[in-house]
Amino acid sequence: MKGRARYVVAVSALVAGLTGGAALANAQSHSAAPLAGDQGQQIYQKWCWPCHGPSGPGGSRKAGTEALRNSYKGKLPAVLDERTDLTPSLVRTTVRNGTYFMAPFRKTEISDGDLDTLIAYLTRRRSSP
Amino acid sequence: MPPLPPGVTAQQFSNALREFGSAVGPEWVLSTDEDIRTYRDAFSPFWEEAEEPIPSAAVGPNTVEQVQQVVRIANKYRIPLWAVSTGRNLGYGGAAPLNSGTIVLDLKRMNRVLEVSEENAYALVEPGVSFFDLYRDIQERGLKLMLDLPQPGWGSVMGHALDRGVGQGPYEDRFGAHCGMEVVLPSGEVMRTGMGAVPGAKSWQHNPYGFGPFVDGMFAQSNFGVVTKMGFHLLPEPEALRLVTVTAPRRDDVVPFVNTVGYLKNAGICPASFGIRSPRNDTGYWSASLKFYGPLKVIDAQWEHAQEKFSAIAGVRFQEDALYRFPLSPDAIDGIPNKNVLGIPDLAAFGQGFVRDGRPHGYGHYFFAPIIPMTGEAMLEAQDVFEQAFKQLELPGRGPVGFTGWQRRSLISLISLPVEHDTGKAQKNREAFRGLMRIAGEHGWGVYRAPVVFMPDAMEVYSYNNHALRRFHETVKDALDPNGILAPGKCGIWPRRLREAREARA
Repeated sequence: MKGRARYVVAVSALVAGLTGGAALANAQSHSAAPLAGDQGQQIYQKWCWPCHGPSGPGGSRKAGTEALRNSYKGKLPAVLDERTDLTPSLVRTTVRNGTYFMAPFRKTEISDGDLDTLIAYLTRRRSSP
Repeated sequence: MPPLPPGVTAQQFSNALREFGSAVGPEWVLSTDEDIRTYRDAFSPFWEEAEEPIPSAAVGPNTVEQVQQVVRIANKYRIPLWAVSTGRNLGYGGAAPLNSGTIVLDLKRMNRVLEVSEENAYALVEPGVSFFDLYRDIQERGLKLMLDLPQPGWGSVMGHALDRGVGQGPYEDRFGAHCGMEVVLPSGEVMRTGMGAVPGAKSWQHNPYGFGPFVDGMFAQSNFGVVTKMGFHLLPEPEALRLVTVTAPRRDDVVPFVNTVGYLKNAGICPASFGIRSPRNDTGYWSASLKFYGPLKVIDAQWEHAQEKFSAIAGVRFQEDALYRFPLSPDAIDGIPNKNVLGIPDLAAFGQGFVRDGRPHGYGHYFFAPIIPMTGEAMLEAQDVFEQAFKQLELPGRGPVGFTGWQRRSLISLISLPVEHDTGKAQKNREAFRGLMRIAGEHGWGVYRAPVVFMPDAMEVYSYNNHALRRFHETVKDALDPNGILAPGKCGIWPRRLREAREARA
């Protein structure tokens, strides 16, 4: 496992270097890979990435990513943490209420404190207040 | 305003919540409207209808001692509790109870992996441990062990087994793979089963039986206790996995085809769960997806032997789909579409199931899953019966195209119905679901598990000798849980004080 953890960090650094701070989480090799990065990234990786990360090259489609791709048809990024338009209220409402086939997340899963940290991560690149 | 538990006043409810707060910490008594929304079944067949079960609150203990306190307080106020582990059993009920007003006993915070042994290949876990959690724990320790998984990885290792869910590898019988339990009984007392009943037990996860009656089965698909720890046997990481597909060309091939699959499974040559599909056309009427786990030399020999056996069927064809060698590199894992068969949890099933044909969204589905014998004759009968049932119930399609081989001598015929937020469509699907259960029962088939809201209907089918089995369950229920506080009605088992409600439903 130590080897795999090193892989994640190394590729993450590469991605960050190429994109000027793009999401570390996108470097995860799979949904159950070790969590890496700061707390907000780790919460995202644990709870969001399995559905909202990039769909895999092996045909492993992420449900949230593909649903948003079909919805936005290229007007917005399909991968959630590449978005620059997410607002705190949208993230909070979606996490606690769910939408379509996305079930809501309970406080025993994502506590209020963790949700605040997740919101800070997902809105870090927001283009306007 | 969430509904109150039946027969409980607002003042009693308020007092109970305060006492729950003293037991688990006030922040883990969740009763606001926002909280309650998160405990609705996102895939509810009754979404937004008057019959949709809405809990009154949720309580989230973090230790077994807190579970004991919560159970004792519930007894004091005769408030029903509905235990969930990760609450992610989507398609079978999610985190919602059967009856409105019930308090959800949310065990997600009890998420500790207590022990993992590589030498004896087992783990001891709490209810909130998901397959993701256990996988990460094993990987971080660098242990050569493999999980046997359902498709969605966020489910509870314990909860999935207690609902008698299906794995995908050689340890496909997830309940059968457990070894030892800790249970909080309806009285609040803690009991350990099997070898765990010996104080200071040294073989709790080594031998499931201990001495005396084997009672573990009473706590799966039941409401006789709250399971707070469970041991599981794990698969030592194999050297290799080979995935293959075998195809037989004619409908009439089904008997020797299924007999051969059954032989391979029962002889231990191909013990993992498998799928049999029938596109019902001339491109290859039957196909079986088989998995061979083990040392490469062994699985080579097993595959060769399987081909010899299948070759008695004229026109049979063989396809090798993949060969994986362990340990897998991260690059290799990344490129594999179905990671579950490798023991790697993910949520890819949701991407396959709900996002199709450019459509962005769906609302989920729920499952009708009867068990039939693992014989070709039974498969043909099931196809014919359900094809007629689909016509009668005005369902689209021709009935099941696929069967899953589960346990050594049975198949599951899995049929999913979509969740609808249009009341008329939702009601039509519910009627169809109940119709499928009734028709299956008329042919001697019952389901292996059921969505929570259909559990009482599912148990109605198990009615031999005027419901002797259910009457036995309820005799046990009344003895263990005289106040009827644990999950009333779960799996059709009602406590004495609420049995009239079942008669009213009937």
